[in-house]
Amino acid sequence: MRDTLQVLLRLRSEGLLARFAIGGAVAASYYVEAVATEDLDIFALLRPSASGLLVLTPLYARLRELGATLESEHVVIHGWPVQILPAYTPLVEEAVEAAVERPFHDLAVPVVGAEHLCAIALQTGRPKDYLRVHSMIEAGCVDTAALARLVEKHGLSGRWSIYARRYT
Amino acid sequence: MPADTLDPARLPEHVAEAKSAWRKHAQALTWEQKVAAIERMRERAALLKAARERRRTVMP
Repeated sequence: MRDTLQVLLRLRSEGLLARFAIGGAVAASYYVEAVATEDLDIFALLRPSASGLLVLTPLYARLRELGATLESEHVVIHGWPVQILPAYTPLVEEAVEAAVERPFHDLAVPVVGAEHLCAIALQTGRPKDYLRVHSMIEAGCVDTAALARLVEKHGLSGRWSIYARRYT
Repeated sequence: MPADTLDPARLPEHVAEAKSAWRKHAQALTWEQKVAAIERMRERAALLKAARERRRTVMP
């Protein structure tokens, strides 16, 4: 994982990945116990081209130069399947902007904050996402007032009600 | 009562205590240790998947 993250940080320093943050299960493992995952989710703010489209060709070309391989929707970097997801909602965009760098071995890696991670999980809304919210709240690593503000701001009250019915 | 002796009348409590202790331990690991655990889970899942596929190919 360290080498995988180092490649991503290198892409950022080379300007190919404007800003990114780790999300998903690997980010959750910063806050709570580890759970199995198949891939590493990266949320990225990508610069649109002159045409307004997000062109990932230079990014993928550089990744291939650095030894990565493409496998369906993943790019495999040092053995880890990585999903580079453009910030697809205002919430995810905000999460990337607010991400804090966390130490991982000798690296400083941006990780989505606990409240944003919970809000994104509510937005995604699969059973395992609700479970992640529950696990993080129960572990006491979430500022629930801040999460409530995100729920309100990003129109997630319905999802929060589903969560509350299942877990509280 | 020694840690390796369970009271049959309190089995649900024993299970809850054991799960809680494991969870505290798992949460107290460093991020590097947790990611290493995820990597081991991925390796095991890959081995299981390969074994399932081998069994499927030898089935008539």
